[in-house]
Amino acid sequence: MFTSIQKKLLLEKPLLWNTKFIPMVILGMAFHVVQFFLGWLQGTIDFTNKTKINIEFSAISFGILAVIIAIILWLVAYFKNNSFKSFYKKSKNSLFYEWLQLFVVIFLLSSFYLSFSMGRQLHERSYYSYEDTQKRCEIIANADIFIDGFFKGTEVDSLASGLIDSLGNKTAKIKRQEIDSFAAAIEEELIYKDYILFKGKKYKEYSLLNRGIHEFSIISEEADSLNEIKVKNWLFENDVTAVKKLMTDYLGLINEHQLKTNLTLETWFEATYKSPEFDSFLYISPYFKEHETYNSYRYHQYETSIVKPYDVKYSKYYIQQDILKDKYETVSVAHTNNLIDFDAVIVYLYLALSCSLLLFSFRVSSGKSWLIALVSLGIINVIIGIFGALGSSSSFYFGSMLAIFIGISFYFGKIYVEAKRKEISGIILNLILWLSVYFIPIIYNLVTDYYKKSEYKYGYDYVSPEYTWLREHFSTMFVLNFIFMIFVLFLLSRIIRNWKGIAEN
Amino acid sequence: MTEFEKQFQEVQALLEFKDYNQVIKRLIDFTLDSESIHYYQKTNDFLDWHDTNEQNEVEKVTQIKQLIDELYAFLSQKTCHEHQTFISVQNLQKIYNSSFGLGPINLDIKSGEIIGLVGENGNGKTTLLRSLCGELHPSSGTISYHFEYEDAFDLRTKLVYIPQRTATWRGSMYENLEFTASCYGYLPEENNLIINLIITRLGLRKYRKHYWNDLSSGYKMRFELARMLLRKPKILLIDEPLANLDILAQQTVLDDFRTIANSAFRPIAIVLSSQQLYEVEKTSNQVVFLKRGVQKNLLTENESHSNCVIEFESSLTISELNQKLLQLQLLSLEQNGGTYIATFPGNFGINDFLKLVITEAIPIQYFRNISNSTRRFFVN
Repeated sequence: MFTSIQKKLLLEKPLLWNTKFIPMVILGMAFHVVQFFLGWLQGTIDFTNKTKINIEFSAISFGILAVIIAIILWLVAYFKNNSFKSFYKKSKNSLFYEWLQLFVVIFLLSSFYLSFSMGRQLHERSYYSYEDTQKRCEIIANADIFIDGFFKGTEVDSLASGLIDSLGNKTAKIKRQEIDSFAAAIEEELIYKDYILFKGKKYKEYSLLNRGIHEFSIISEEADSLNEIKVKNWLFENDVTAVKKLMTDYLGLINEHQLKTNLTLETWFEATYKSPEFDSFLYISPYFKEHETYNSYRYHQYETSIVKPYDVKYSKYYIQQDILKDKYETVSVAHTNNLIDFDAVIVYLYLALSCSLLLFSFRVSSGKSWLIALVSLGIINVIIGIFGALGSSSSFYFGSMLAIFIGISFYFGKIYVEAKRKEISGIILNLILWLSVYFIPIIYNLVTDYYKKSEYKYGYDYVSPEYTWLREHFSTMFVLNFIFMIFVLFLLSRIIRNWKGIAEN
Repeated sequence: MTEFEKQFQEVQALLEFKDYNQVIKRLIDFTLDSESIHYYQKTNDFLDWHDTNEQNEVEKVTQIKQLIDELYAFLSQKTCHEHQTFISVQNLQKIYNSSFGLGPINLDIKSGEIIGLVGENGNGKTTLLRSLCGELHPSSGTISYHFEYEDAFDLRTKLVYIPQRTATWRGSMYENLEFTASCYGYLPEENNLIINLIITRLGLRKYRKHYWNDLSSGYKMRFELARMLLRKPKILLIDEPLANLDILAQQTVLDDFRTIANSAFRPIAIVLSSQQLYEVEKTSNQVVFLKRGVQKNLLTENESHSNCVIEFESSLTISELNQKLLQLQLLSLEQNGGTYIATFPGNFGINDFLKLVITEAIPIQYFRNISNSTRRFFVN
């Protein structure tokens, strides 16, 4: 099939034939399909945690190896013919199309991990719908209060800490804390209350009412807070039915996934529901085997068990909450994360852009010019880097690179306009092609550096709005730069075509 | 009589003398002149048949005649191309460094012409070729191209230069030619037909599936030529095309150049450099001799040096020869390697020389009148 496609392309679209675009795109897509299925396999969730599939490292290694082999074979075939160097007839935009094809091929070959990640995520999502996952996560999150929910901090005792006097007035210490940039030292001296207030009622620091619930990414922070208040309200109002329903639902999940527990509704309720103070409950061990998952063992430093001996925190009861949390967290994250990571796409775009430009510059200039340009750029970077490091200034590095870029652009422009001899413009052309990718990022860095410096003018806490805006639009800058580069390459490819016509000497 | 009619008559004569090899070459030329897929296909069908039926002379002649007649009828309707000047070179100078400089060169290159560049090694032949193809920028003087081109790149696509050492082709020969033809806009349905015609024309039919390393230098040069012809050049600049060819192949290639350049409908200009003086002179319309970068035009030199110069080989010694030739107003006699160069006044002719040779029984193995040859410049 490839042979007949290539033969047809050879006779009708010589550029597409030369770049081996169609076979390489098919190959690239095949890589993506394979990686998608490997990702799908990786996304298998065994809720019982009996089998674990972890092929990510192998899949990536295999992917990288396959891509390297594919690229080598591709380049061997691609380099067989070079119509541009042979002065074959070419349309004005032909070089641009050639670069575009190189870019697409390299992007497809290098970005296989996107498909792996997507396959994994889609499989993880496929276990439960978004709404179902949310509902199940809510049960797991809320039940955490009755298992191993963490204890929250308590309020600062302002009087005992000396922040206010007996009349409620602020002392000098609090004023110092407000203005002192080294407030951490004062933080250490603070004394905290050993109780909390819920709806006006005092509860001990280590009561169920001061426990937090587990947070899942699929449940918003606002919903988390409301859920926590809802459960605590059941305790406050002694709503046994609601608590028992929650526990029943939770045990239903444990049974559904064949997880282990020695709790029943009655024993669990009996062990933890100690109304009205909820401070003499038993600690339920959240795992069956320690370290079975990354989240298995979480020992809160200040928590103590009411079960003797005091150094033993957990009671005889256990429930495999760690696995349940772990698995549902995976599903939750799969639902909340974007299928395609925008930042990763930018990274792959720039990887493909840089590699395609390296290849493109080699095609349009000579191997000798390309190599000299590469070595020169390395030397320039080392020299400027050393001077920049000596002066501890990143602006020096970026400023120098910008000056070099402008200088060589002028030189190339002069050669192009005079149209007499190429001289060393082949080397310069390589440098222009490589450095043009960094033109906007260099300016961005210089401007960011300028505004970053200004924060020291007004004291430690001041961050200029311009700096903040620039940092917030870091990714946007790269997107705009990418679009700018396509435009630049469109123009540059037409210029390169004419430049090629200039006499060598 | 048009140029085409002359060529047609030549083919008829070749057919009469049963020089089928030449006839088939000319048949292919006419087919290419037709620029018609119909005739490309017909001639290709004949060539395919010919591959296996070469010995069937009766049928071969019938088919050839039929094809030639059809092509004649078709091409008679077409207008022959009028020759025009493609390139004018005025006072071209290229100075590399203080030790060598080319020029000044003045030259007009017309379509249908072959220009031979001759001269010893390192005298500027390659520099002139590279200047003409736009690879070198003149230090002074101008090169004007009298045909349409869009920009510098477009110009260089029309000035096809084949260096003495051609770059290695990767992949199969045939595939490379297909790629070239495709780049130059040949239709998919005519691509293979036209390639088959050109490679047959250049004697490469048997080698089309070969790879670069399987070919001798001579065949590599021919493949390079086939590729260049697919590029429909205005001017073909070839550096030492005869260097790797045997004497027979040299004559064949030069004959091919002659007919390719002088096509009635698709004439091109060919500039070639060579050390094979005699062969080049036979084929070229103009010969440019370069000595230390300076151009010597045969016509101009002849006007100032209108002597009769004869090159010959003899078993006699120089003094014996001198004694015998003095009877004929001998101006000078030089020995150059194994040959002698005798110079006589302008009113002296080659027949006078031959009469003396017979009368005096001078033993000669070879002789040539080089009065009108750049060979004079080599020996002087």
